[in-house]
Parts: sequence; C-alpha cells; structure tokens
Amino acid sequence: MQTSNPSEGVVIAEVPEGTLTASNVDPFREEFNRILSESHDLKVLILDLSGFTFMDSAGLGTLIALLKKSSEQGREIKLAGLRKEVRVVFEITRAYKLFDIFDTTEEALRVVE
Amino acid sequence: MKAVIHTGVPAPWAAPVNRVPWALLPLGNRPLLEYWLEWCSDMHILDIRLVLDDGAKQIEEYVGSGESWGLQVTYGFHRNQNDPVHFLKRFSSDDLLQGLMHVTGPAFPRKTGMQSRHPESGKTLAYINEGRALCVLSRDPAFLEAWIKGQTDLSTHQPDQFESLGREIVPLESLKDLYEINMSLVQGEVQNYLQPGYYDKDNVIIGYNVITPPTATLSAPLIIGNDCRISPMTSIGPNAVVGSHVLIDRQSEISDSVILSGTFIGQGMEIRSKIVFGNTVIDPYSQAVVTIPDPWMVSEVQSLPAFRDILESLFSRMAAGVIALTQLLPFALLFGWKLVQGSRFTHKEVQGRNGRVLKLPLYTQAKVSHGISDRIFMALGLDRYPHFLLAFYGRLWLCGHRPRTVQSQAAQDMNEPDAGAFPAAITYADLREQDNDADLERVEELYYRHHRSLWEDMRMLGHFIIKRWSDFFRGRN
Repeated sequence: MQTSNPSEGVVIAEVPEGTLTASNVDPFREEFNRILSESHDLKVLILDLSGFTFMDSAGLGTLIALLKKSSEQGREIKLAGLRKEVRVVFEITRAYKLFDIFDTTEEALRVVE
Repeated sequence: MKAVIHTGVPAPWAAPVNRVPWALLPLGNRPLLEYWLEWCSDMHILDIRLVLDDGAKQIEEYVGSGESWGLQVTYGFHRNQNDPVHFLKRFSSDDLLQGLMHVTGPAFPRKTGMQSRHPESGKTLAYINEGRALCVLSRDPAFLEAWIKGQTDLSTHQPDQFESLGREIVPLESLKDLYEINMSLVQGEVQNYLQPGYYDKDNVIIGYNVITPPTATLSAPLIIGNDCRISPMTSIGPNAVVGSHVLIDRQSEISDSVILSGTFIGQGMEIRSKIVFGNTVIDPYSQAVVTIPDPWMVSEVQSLPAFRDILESLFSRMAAGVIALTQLLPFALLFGWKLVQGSRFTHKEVQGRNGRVLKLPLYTQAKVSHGISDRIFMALGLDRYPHFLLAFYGRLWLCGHRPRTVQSQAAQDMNEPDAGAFPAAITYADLREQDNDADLERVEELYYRHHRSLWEDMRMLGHFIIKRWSDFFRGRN
C-alpha cells in the first residue's frame, strides 16, 4: 500500500490493483495495522480503494473489523474511489451506513480539512 | 451546473410502501425521481449526483448512468442524511461556480403551465419547508459558498419563487399528498409531462402488453402501466392509476385509486379511494394502513419458484443429509463421550426458514480442552450435527447467514415472511474469527442474499471443512 501524508494527522493509503477476498485479507490487514502503528499522530486515514476491482464478504468483514479497531483508538477511516463493482457490494450490504464514502480522495480531504 | 439529489433522506410517512424507496414512488405511473431528472435535463443541468441510502440498488438500477435523460449521473453516500448540506462540503468552489441545484427530500416539481426557463446567473431560488431548504437552485457562487459554510440563513426566502422557472415545488409529506398528486395527474395534469407524439385526448393512457377482454369496462380518466392482465367483467376507472405488472381478477371494480406495481387484486374486490400496494391497503385520507393476509383478496404478484431456487433447495437438503449420514457414527461415539464429560446442547430461539421460530441447539462444552477427542469433534463439525439435521429437514439452509435471534433488532425489522433470509447451518461467521459483531453479521446476511448460488454454497462448505481441519492441526478448538 502506498501512503502519503497531505496534512498533519491525515494519511492517504492507496491500495494496489487487485481484489480483496478471503485469499488476501491477511496481508491487507497486516499492512493496515502497520500503517496504524507507524503513524502515531494519525487521526484520519483515507483509504483509496480505486485499485480494488472486487471485494467479497471476507474483504468487507475485514474492513468493518478495521473500522471498529480504528474507532476504538479514536481514529477515523474514510473510503474513497470505489469502483462500481465494489460500490455495489457496499450498497447491497448497506455497509455504506458504517463508513464515510467519498468519490475521490480530494473530496475526502476537503471534508477532513 | 450540478444537481445533488438526496434520495436517502428519511420519509417516515412512506413506511407502509417502503418496499419502494420514496424516490421511486409512482406519480402518474412514473417514479418521482424521473420528474426531477427531466427538469434537470430541461434546464441543461447535466451533471447529477444522486446521494443514496435505503433502496440504493433499486435506484441505481432504474437510473443507471442517466443516459435515458441525456444526463451524467454519478452516485454517492452520505452517512448523516439529516444534514444534507454537509454533503456539499466535499465539492470544491470550482465545482459549484456554474451553480447548484440541491434537493433534500420528497417533493414534486409540478409544472405550472409557464414556459420552463433556465435559472438566471447570480440568482438563488429556494423552497423552504418547516425551516428546512427542500430545494435550492442557485447560480450565485458567493451565496453557495456562504450557505455551505452555514453563514447564510435561507429561512428568509419566500416560497414559490420557482414559479418564474415554470415550476412549483410540492412537498410530499403524507400518503394523502401522494394520492392527491396521482389523482391530479390522472385527471389531466399528466398531459403536461407527455412527450410530443403521445395522444392523450381521451384521458386514457395504457402501457404495453396490457390484456383487456371485451367485457372489461375502462372508464376515463385512467392510467395503466405495462404488462397488466385485466380479467373479464372488471370495471376500472374513472380516476384509476394502475401500475405495471398488475393482475386484476374477475368482477373487480377500481376507481379513484392508485394501484402500485406488482399488485394482484382478487375476484370481486371493490377498491375505491385507496392506495393498494401488494397486500397493503391504505386509506389516504384517514391514513389507515391495513395489511390483508389473504392472498385471494389482494397480494403481491407471485412468481413461480425459479429452477435455480429448486436446485439450491435440493442441494441444501441433500448435502445436509449426506453430511448427517456420514457423521452419524462419529457423532454417536464422540458425543456420547462428551455427554459423560458434561457437555450439552442448549437451546436458543431463532428464526429459521420462512421466518418460523426454531429452537436451535447450541453446543456447550463442559470445559475448554485441547484433547484429541475434542479436536476431532470440532474438526468433523459435530458441534453442528443437529444443525445439519435441521437443514436436512428443511428448517435451516445448509449455507447462508447466522440465524437471527427472535429478540434481535434485525429480526424485528424483518418483514414476515422474509423470502430473502437464509438462516443456515454453515455461515460466514464460521469462516472468520468469531466476534459477535451485529453489524458485520447483518452485512454478511445481505451479502449472501445477493451472491447466493450453488458455487457460493460449495465454496462456503469447502472453506468450513478446511478451516475446521486447519484448526485441528494447529491444536485449536
């Protein structure tokens, strides 16, 4: 995952091209945990999911678990750049009620700042 | 210019017809949202953002990319639907430089008869309803910037300013409003919205593939949608709006009523001054909502079970039967041993297939142990043996989501019977670390509904077996 730090306390993490399914949730979770542990002043993490072409229930479950973990630490997660295939998964499962979802990372940044 | 339409703002009055999101509720047989999209198209506002919530999938399926209206429609989500203006903060000032149309709830953009005009530059129009801006149309960037930042109070604006653009904003605040607009449309107002080339002089509009026998009486004014079957000796109209896929049985009479799409009206029914949606009959004036459980009177149009459903049901029962049969001996031996040690099955009331209440046996271990017999017991999935039997008897599905407890909120929300629920013996919750997260379980349930297939079931079954045996080799229960 490529990360950038556009402003204090805000990190944008860009996921690599591919899918988030049961077969690769573990490396994703580890990478996510690494970002959380390395960025001590992190308040808002914007996850740019534009690289994901598909997400299954395991992937979605992992995102929800990570959201829960971050909230417990007082950190926010915002999602951006969902492709249609991934957005539909959020729609049908109503997971959009749990996350703040933006079209682009720029939109998310505007609201955060 | 850009338009932002919030289709997810709660509309509690529409709860009796909540199988359709309010944005798709029919007015003269066309969804409410379509009137807004058409108006946007008339004003050359081509960049539309629909903010979705409940019914997101239905709205997206209906509107698509917006090509049908010559629009570019994109979609977004906003968690706090009660503060729609906050959504606008995500746009840059450049985005809003050309102007903005912001719709924040159910309202009908009625044509007043004046010519539709493009909003003037530097102007702001607003319709305020009970202190809330229901519709704002502005081509004043300075105003928009201040408004989004909360520095401008819109309540000073006078309503009905949209009349200069040839429209009047009519808020929908009750089923009575929905009914009255429908009646107004059927009584002639609909001609304002017809495309050139449609003939409406006789005040009768009938869609495609509508079968009307010679003995049926149709009285103007009347609107009937597509794919309807009208039986002999029926009388429809005057003032009837009948949606698409509606079946009307013999000797029924319908007048001054709105029949929503997908409704069956039984033999000899007399529907006057009502809204009917499936088996729900609504009196728009008294707001009385009656659910009729007798499918011979009124009901949703039922479809025959698809071949796929039959196949999946068969697979579920057969696979559960095979598992139960092969595990009978190990279960008898190992559970006998566990019973001596004090392990038990306790019961919990859950919702089984077709919403029936079921006492689900849950395995309770006497003590946490990592002995070989415990590990084999778990690896073979014998703690689920009664669940496999229930799946074989058709009380549970083999694969699906975790059965809801009878007291759970999700169970209370469930419509009876909920054809989209698949309480099962093997669930997504078994394939991950257990954490009893209600949100996650609800999400998994909805995920399964939409991805249900034989392949998905086999995948879940395979993952369940692999997980149980990998736990065995790792020495975990």
